[in-house]
Amino acid sequence: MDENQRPDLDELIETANYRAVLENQKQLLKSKFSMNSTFSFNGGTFNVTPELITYVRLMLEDGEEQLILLDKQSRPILVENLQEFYDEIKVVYQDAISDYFFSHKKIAKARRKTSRLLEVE
Amino acid sequence: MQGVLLCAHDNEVVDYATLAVGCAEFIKRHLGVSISLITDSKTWESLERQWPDRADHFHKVEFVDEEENSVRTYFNKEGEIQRGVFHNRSRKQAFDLTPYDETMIVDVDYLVLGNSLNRVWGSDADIRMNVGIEDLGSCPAIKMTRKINPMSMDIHWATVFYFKKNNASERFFDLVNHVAENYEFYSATYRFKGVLYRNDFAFTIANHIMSGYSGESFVEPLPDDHTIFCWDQSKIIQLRDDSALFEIATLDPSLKFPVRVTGRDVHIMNKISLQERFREFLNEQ
Repeated sequence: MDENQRPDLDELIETANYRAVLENQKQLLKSKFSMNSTFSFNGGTFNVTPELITYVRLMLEDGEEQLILLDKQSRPILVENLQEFYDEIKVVYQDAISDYFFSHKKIAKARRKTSRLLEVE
Repeated sequence: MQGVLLCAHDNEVVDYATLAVGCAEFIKRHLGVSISLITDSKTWESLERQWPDRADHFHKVEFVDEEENSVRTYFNKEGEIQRGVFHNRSRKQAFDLTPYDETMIVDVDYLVLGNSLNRVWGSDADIRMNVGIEDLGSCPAIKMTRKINPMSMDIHWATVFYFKKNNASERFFDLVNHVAENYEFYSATYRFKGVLYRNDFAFTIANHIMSGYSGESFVEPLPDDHTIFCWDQSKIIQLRDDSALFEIATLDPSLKFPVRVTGRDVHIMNKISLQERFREFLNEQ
């Protein structure tokens, strides 16, 4: 960013309503988590949730090696290698929730400074 | 082969050549897939003149004689209105012009800041396009319509969409072209103002017909089923590799609202502010 724009940015940060900026950033983090916990597999798209992970784990413990699951569009998708699918969705969910957790923590530490919320030095 | 297809046609207000190069730069960084371009000779000359080292971002360049559309409104960085002829009709030729088996069409004012679009490749669906939209700020200055008319169906946003080169998609594009050629009739039938041709509306109507005029949708949403919009009166003020800072306009012109987006894509309606940020970003590299 060139120096001429900096006063505009400073003024914007100075005059912004902190609570409004905070709530908006929180909302964006929430929707980013939702995006990050989406997983595409074998032509289908899944929302990875603790329920999906638990169900797949239960089926594995019951000795199932293949499974048909409904994706976000209620399309039946054959999962031929259930163990591989389980390993992948676990990583997707853990990565998504870790990112959410650390980003949320950063916001919580902003201590009423809008510039910190927005990562502006 | 999989790839992204962009369409760019300069007008008297917006430097679409720079938008195409900037958009391609971010696609290259975050998606790493092949990129091709539909353009006209004048826009391509401008692109090669301004960005001689970036023209090789494009795997294939298709030249079309762009048909004229109506004049539309653009907002500049001061929030003032400027008017220019909108050239947006080449998109409906995408099926014939794409060099890919699986194509993602992306508006050049769509800022790719993450890799979520890569989750679409290998999809079972023939065409994927979002209905869901999300405002970047919680207090937008304008209330954007989400339906073709208040009593009609939801708009499918042609900002970013995926299609496979197969018979079903070909029929769909045939329908889009038919709607475009008979736009006045369809605007009267579906009751919207048909002065300015809008791809969103043509694609939505084609989907309605392909779905047998039912409530079900032939077109499926993208893996990330909400497209984030930054409306015209707001502007982008800072651009980094994976994040951007925006100034969001509110109903009170004296109250602005800063928003930082990291790792998520944003459709930026204020093209003039985006072309400036792209210029800065590209010149710094």
